Amino acid sequence: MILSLEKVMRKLDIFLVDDQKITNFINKKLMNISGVGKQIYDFINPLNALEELEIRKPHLILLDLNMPEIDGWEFLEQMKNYETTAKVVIVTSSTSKMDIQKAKEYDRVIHYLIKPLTTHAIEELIIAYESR
Amino acid sequence: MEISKLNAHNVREPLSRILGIVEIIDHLTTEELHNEALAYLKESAQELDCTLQKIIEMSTNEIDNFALE
Repeated sequence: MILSLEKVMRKLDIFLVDDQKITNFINKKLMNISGVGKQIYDFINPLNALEELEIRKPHLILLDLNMPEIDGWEFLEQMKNYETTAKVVIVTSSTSKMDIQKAKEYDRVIHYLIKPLTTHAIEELIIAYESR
Repeated sequence: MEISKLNAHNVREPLSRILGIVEIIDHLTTEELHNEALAYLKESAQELDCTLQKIIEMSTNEIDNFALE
């Protein structure tokens, strides 16, 4: 991987938002393996992530779609009420074309990944982040 | 239709977790493996089994209904 990308990878503060603790555990580990992230915060309740947006000021949010409190779409809507420049990568088990299309309506959504996340997919999302 | 909805979320979700654990397993400490990964693996496999049983039941019913008509 080229040097500038590596620098970007290491400076990012990242939120992992998924109602399944295990998925956050897996994704955090994958980030560590790939050398991505300065601080990684994980949330099983998306509402808590929203509350901490302005405090932690994440650069990047990995967002699940299917969650009980509020779903990923509602999360994206509510993000508009906060002062944040965070980019979002949707990480979902949904292969639905409708969801992929809908994701394109949000400027801050830079990538759409189908679970499971892999180290290769993490490289992809960093490239997507860097090219913005 | 019902079955395809079940497939999309309930099958792919636990399956993706199982695949995810497999992806990271070489990088876990013995402690992480025993305290977290194996329990998660078991839970996800059981969830997947449960969903598959529902799907099989539903498709069997469908075939039975079709045969009756």
